[in-house]
Amino acid sequence: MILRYLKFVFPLTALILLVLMIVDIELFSGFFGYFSKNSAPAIYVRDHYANIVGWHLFTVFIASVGATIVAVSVGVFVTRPAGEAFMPLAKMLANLGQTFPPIAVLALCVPLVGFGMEPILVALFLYGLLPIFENTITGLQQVPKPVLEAARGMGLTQGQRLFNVELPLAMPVIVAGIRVSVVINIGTVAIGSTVAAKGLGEVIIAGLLTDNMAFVLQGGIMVALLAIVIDKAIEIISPS
Amino acid sequence: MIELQNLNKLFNQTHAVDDVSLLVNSGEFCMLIGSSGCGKSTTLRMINRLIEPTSGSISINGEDVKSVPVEDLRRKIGYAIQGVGLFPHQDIFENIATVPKLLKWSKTEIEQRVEELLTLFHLDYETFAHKFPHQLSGGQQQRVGVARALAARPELLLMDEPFGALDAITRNYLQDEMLRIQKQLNITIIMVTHDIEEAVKLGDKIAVMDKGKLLQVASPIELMRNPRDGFVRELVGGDDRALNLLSLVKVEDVMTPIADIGKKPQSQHLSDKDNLRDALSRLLWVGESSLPVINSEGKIIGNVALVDILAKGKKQK
Ligand SMILES: Nc1ncnc2c1ncn2[C@@H]1O[C@H](COP(=O)(O)OP(=O)(O)OP(=O)(O)O)[C@@H](O)[C@H]1O
Ligand SMILES: [Mg+2]
Repeated sequence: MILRYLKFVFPLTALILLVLMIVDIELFSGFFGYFSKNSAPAIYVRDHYANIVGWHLFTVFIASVGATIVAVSVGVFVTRPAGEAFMPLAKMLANLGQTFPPIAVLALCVPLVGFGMEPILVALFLYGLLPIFENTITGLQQVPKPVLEAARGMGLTQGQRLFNVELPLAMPVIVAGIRVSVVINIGTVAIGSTVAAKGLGEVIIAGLLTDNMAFVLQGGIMVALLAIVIDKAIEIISPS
Repeated sequence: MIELQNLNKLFNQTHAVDDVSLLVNSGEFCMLIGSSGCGKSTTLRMINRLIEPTSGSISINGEDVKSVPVEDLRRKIGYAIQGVGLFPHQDIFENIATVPKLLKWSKTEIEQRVEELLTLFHLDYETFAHKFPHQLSGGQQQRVGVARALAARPELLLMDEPFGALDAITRNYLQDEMLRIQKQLNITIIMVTHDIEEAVKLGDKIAVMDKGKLLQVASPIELMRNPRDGFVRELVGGDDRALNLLSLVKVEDVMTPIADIGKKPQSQHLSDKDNLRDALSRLLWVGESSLPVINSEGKIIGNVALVDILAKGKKQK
């Protein structure tokens, strides 16, 4: 019983802290004051935190929706008889997307799409594909053979089998992949601020540039809190 | 009536099904038996076109199975398999309702049908309708699997070793259920098995396969008496044939009725629904040359002598 509550205490604390920091970061000026040297400001005030966190999440959201659509579609395709031949190729590409450092993607993208949100969207999209793609394949492949045989034998069409049987049964595994992907990207999106994308990264970078530990901590802590809260949120809404 | 004509299936180089022709009449319970890998499942799955034959044809009531869209065909044929394959994410009600829903039955029709089927299989509606497959025992799952296969009132039911994974007692019980249900619904059943006792118990007709070929098609008694060649002979039990034959005959068919019906039974007796194999065993065990027979009400209705039984086990010309 206690253990069940404990599982929620940690994310709930994270959520409360996060909300407080977004609503009124001044509440923590005393704490962050310890880390600012030479009377530098303890609190980042160039933009409101609601705005910064909003952009941070929005960027991750757009990239993750894109990655989910593409990864699930391709995962479905390569597990169909018609697409089986493309499985190795798709796996290789998804692996490449993950091994290729996001920072290198940024560097390559800026000349093509300019500064701002676009390059980091591309980087997050590529980086987030692999966990979702792999889990889609795993989830679909672990649907028991007799279940598929029965579905076919009872006269469900290919589409009915996919949407009424295979995807619902694979869904918990797919959502687990999305969860991993999103949580990774909540951290990774911070580097987008090096190419002028909005988000918590700009606070961290401002801190690094001015040697202001208070800013670095503020940005870092909020990224961490976001990751914890979103991770739990997806767990709660995901099918079991 | 289901007719398989010169059916062949080649997987790469292997001849999985080799020129099989078989006729199953409406209302017949046909058992397809043979050792592992002999092509039973392949034959069965060609009937609902889960596998397309390399050559040959299949017709149901004179209509080629290829003349209707494959999904329509499958919705008209019940299909139950060893792994059951219930949908784990749907409750028992939804599982059974699968095909009626595909056929767009009305909600009330579906509800009635599910209730009817659960009753038919002695599963209480209130208890089971909204349970999930993992909450049921293997035997209960298998019953739901068959109920689901029968949901849209198919005239033909295909079963691929449906009771293969169950313990002997449960299997026996479900076999009795199948016999009862087949009589009650008067449907045609083609069932794959590799258990000769199951084939003999359930089948009106037994089709023996070996290495893709159909060796013999006959009634259980005919198969026991005149197994055509080596494989069939081995299958029906070689030297056990006499005993297997006895298991096909009931005590009531050979007993001598007694005039003073209703006498109180002695301690040792046989029951009218026992088969002769069990009766013989009992006689030998108690060392009697004959025993009284009682009916389901416990009244003595006749007498069976050892010699009557022995006569039944003899090879007949
Ligand atoms: N999809 C397939 N691809 C290739 N070979 C197959 C395929 N399905 C079956 N076979 C082969 O065809 C032969 C017959 O298989 P089938 O499943 O019909 O046997 P079975 O009589 O049902 O055996 P069991 O009692 O073990 O289920 C076997 O040699 C099997 O390996
Ligand atoms: Mg088989």
